[in-house]
Amino acid sequence: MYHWAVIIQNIDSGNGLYELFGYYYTPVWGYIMGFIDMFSNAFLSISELGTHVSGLLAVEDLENIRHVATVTSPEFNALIKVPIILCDLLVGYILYRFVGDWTGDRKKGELAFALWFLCPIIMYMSGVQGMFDTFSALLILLSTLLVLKEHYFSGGFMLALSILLKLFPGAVVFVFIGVIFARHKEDGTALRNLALAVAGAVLCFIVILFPNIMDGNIADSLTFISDRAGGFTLNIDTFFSMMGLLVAIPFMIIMGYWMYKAKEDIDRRFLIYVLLVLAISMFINMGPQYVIVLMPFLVVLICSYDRSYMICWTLVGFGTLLSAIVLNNYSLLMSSGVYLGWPSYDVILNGFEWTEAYLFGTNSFRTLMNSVGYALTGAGLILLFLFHYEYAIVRRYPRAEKYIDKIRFFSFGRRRPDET
Amino acid sequence: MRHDRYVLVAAAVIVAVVLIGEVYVYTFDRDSTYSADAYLSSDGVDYRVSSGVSNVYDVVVSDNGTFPAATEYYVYYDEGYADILEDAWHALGGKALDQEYYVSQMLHQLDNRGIRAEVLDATGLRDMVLSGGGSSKALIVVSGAFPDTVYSGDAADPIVRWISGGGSLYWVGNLLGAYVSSEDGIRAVGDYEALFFGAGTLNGSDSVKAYDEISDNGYLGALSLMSNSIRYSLNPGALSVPHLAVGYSDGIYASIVLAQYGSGMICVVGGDYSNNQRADLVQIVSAHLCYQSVLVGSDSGEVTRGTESGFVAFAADSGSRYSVYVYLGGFYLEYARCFDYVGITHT
Repeated sequence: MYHWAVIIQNIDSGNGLYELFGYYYTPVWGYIMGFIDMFSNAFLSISELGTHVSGLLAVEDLENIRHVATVTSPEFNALIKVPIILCDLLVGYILYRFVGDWTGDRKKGELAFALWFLCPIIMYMSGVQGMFDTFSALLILLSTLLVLKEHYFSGGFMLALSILLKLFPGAVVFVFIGVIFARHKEDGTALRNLALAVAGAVLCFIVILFPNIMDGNIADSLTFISDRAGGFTLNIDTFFSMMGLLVAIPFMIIMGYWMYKAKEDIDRRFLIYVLLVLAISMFINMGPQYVIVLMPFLVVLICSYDRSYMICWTLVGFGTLLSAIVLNNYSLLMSSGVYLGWPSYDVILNGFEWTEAYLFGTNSFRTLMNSVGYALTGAGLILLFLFHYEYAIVRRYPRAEKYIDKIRFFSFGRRRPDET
Repeated sequence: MRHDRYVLVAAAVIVAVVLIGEVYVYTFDRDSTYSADAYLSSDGVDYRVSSGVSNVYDVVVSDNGTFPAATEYYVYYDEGYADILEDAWHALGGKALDQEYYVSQMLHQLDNRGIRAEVLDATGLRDMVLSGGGSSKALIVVSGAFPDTVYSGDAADPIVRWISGGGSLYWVGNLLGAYVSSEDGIRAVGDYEALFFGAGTLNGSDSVKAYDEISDNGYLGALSLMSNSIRYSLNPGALSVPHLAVGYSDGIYASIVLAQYGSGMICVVGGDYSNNQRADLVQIVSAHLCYQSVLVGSDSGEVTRGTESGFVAFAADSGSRYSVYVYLGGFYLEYARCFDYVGITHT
């Protein structure tokens, strides 16, 4: 939350998004914050964004995680989190309508709303940590539905918007191209429709990046990418990211090709392929909040086709929740400690001390639990592929069938998916 | 089409939110949104604060004794000259906090506080210090080393004479005077401490953080100071000249120390580069704090889409210089202005 307050400070000091430190993303989240700020400035009276607390200075010295002793106020926390939760509701409503229409069963629509809105990582990221990935989910969901409903110009615009919010939705580009060709290769309008989508995307890039183009600071809006790339050193994290990249990019291209080759059941394949390419992109850089972008599609899959995927929802939802909570641990209580008087600073600092203390080697409770969380998340994502490619796997390894069925047993459904 | 409508409406709503936000971000005008005024009389300060949004505000009134406030501000930065700085931590995805970025950030932050500073390269710095008039000038050096155009490690060097002649130096980045930079690199200076405040006055130890508030003068809270870094900083207890320590202390060194040097002043802000350090630096510069400063009054409150006024009572001395520093936003400062007086006459 500290950084969101810095961004509001920068906007309200007339310095835009990139003149002063604090905003590291492409501009869309900054613009959404600009809207929130505008609303607050026009109608609310949130005067104090936060305060610096001498008694919590020790948190700035923690070895592994950079916390700050500048704590945001409860009013400011609410200002940021309420719109994020409203976005959760909007995504939930869209899922409710879409799944209800898609399956012809409103009950399934209600289930879709519940699985989205009550997903542990969604509730945590929106209501506790105040991360904006739910907007990323909204934009990629909208762009997918617009393309599904053959609104290619607006679909392309929305896809570009989602990429300019966070990069992960970029994973679906090949599948989007594939579905346009799959749908329109017979009627000869594929290129025209693709051009419409591209035009929408280009327009979006121009509109969103216009201030950066005029100010000549496009590079500043890309530091989130360039800083990571520029600071590259080979370690276990970057090794896995590189491996993830080497697997993910060919997979995205292949999925686009399969989408292009599809002759029937195109819409259903489209939704599933979007889910799969988003899931594979998680292996490039795994972070608890990133999985939110694929959750709407997982929910659609569960409610519309196969409830076996509930186990993926459970593992991903709770695994990422565990990682996120241990990552931030007692910092989540700082605002309450400072503004509401509970818990005491001693409790917070002692909490940091035991969660960060090395248990063996350089492994702390935090890092160990974080690994457990990532393992659960990774298992959930891998099961997505296992279930989806069950037929191919069983054909090659017949004995795998009973193990996959056992895994399905832990979920709510036992249906095997159709071969795709 | 009926089944598409909720998707189209939702898409239109989110696009509208983004575009309205974009326009707001880039059309927000600081100077038409905020204003501040202060009027000094013999029994105190009347102040008025206006905001088109919602802010906390603080009013800080200092008696600066006989030390004049600067009216010209300079920042030394020469990309062709070497610096001697530790790599500073920066958030993943953020820009590296090198000297160029630090200076650019500082200029924006000073501008938010109503100060337009001029950036000088090594040659420009030499010309400025040789031009005299130091008592109206403030110079910020964040390179950790003086350039060889003004400094060689000798008491007769232009920069040393400029400070002792009345100039105000704000120093960040390394041990004061310990290095001379040139286009070829860095050269260490021998007895640099003796040249300024004497042996044992600068923190070259491994003690880099302080956790005790310096609360006796009230400036830590009044100016919303944040940095507790004391690396390279001064030991107030070892100083034989009038001085003011603000911020945090480990019992020996203080995060910010302003000390008399001849007719001028040196302010050392401790620590390696950090955003908190820079925020404190510009706050000290903008509030016109000096080694003689005494906090004679302060006030704070909230202003929401309107104007608030108030009065800070104290007995003004006709022979003293005063500064009234008004800032909005607290620790998340968005706007500030400083008003200077000699006696009750605005300067």
